Amino acid sequence: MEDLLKIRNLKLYYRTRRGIVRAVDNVNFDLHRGETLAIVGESGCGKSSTAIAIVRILPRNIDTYEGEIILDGVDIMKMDDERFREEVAWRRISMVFQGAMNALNPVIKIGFQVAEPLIVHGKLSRGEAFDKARELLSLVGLPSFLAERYPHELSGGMKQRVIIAMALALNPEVVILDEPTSALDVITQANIMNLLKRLKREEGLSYIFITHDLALASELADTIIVMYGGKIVEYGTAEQVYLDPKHPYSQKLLASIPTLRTDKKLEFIPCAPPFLVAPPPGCRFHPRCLYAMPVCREKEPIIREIEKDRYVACWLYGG
Amino acid sequence: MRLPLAMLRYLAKRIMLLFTTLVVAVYLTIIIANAGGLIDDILRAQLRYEITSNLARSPGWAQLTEEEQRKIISDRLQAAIQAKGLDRPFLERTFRYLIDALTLSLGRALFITSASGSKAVSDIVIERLPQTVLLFTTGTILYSLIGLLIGLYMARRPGGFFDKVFSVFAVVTQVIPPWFFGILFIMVFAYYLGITPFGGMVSVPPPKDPLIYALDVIYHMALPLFTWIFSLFGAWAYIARNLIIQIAEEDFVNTAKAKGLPDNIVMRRHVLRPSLPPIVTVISLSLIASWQGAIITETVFNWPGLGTLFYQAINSLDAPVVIGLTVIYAYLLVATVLILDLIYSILDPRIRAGRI
Repeated sequence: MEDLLKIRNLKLYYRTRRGIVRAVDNVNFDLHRGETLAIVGESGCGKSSTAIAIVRILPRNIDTYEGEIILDGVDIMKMDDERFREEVAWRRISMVFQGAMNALNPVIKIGFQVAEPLIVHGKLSRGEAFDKARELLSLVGLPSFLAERYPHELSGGMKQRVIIAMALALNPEVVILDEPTSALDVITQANIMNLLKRLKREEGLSYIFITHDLALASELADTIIVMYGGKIVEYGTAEQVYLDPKHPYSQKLLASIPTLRTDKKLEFIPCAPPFLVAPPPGCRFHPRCLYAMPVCREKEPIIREIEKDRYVACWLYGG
Repeated sequence: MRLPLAMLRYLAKRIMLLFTTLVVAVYLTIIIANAGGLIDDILRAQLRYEITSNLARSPGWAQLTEEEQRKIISDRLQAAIQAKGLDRPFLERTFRYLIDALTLSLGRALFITSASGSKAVSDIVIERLPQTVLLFTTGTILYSLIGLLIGLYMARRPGGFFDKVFSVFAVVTQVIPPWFFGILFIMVFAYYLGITPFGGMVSVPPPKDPLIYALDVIYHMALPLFTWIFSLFGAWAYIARNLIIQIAEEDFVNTAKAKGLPDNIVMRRHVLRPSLPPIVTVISLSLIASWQGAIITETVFNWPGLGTLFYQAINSLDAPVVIGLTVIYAYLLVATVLILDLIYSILDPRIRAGRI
């Protein structure tokens, strides 16, 4: 498959009172056209930071923001903010934000919020953009009269559909989904997942799907990235990672998924995820790892290809 | 036609609620201003004293026997009490006062007279109201605008140099009352520099030509106005800054930025627009407060406004004036809140639907 997005040595560090938080630390991955890449991990592992680094919605306390983000052969990190805004933002990479409940402006009509990028980037008139917004609403399975409504008049699932419609307004190549269903009940969640699958098929989208929910990720993902402490610890196809997880962290993560009506003992990983101001030396997972060896405490494992397209950062596989 | 109907229902509900508020507020004021009926005793005692001292000065009084004297005094007192309506039970009278107050028949002052010599409460209040509005409402409008602009500028770079310096200024001016600045500024501008008058509203004697009169008022108004703005715009700028920063952290602002909208559209449409309702509230409430005047600041600048009147009325236990002022103030408050509700329902669709 053709490479659409290549991330190389991406770093995003935040400055805080207690020190520098290395939220995204040397992250590398590729996204192919038409592929869905899921980034999974616990809260605070750097998955959302990776997303905001790609779309350049940065908080004010940035310390380091560097690396290469190559979209179709062009390094978009080299663009200045104005050019990025005009050429890349929403046109080529759009994003569905976490916390869908607040992602819509409460005082502006739905239709206008969906139409807004079309007016600014697509140079459409208000009327044309509104018509297009109605089409987009039908595309995500909402009645088009909702364009005249305000966000508070919609249910959570409907709002999430509106946000997805908004993300599709400019036919982007990459859509980043940051926990798109985390605030919804399971039935609505299933509906949204089906909608995302249908849109991917029909519109030929590529997704970066960020979630803490491995079961949900398996619904959509072709490729899985497992992140821990700001770094990628395992990277492989969904089959490989789900059926035969290599990294001890991935193994634990998979063992912690509940299954219905079976007597499986749910496992959990003792201790808390690392404090990213002062991450543990060596492998960042070693304090919680069952297989920790002396080398894990001293040297950081390098991510290496153990099979074709299968990467793991762990000393068990030779570091 | 779904929307206007919902809006009408909402407004009808609000009017009912506000009217109830008005009635309760006025009734409580009547009871408090009459000290729960205690003023009646004072009034009775005062009537007795007036009648007795008047009679004592009348010729031939000393020739009457004590019995006759007592009878005349008690007859006259009875007549006076009846004339003033003081013979009815207090509770019954409070309701009559309430109806009078609500229909704006404010009655006559006990002691205070207007400059034109009238004892009617409405005359006394109406004479002072424009002077208070001229100074304090103008000041409030100006400091709201200046504060809002500065708040916007502070919110651009929170934690930056300007933001830090101005936050300190805001706290300092908030802690120190306006009249203190008044005294300070009178000392600097009127005493040392001699560029402004010490106080008052017009020169004595007032100029005849209306144009010169207006200029003279502006000349007298400059220093109190400056004081009022100076001591209040900082705190308001700080409030506006915090409101704007809070909204700027909402998810929908991030969404707007990710959409690739230019900064000024993000700011105007997705930050300022949603922060308007609270900003409008704060400004309107300050406007209402401005109609009350400011008791000490008015005294410092010798400004003939409602603040000083209120102070005089409370001091001299002039219940009708206190009640009259409160009634007018309550009416203005209710009217403003109603207008505010209307503006709100236009600004925020959630309120229109009665969700909040």
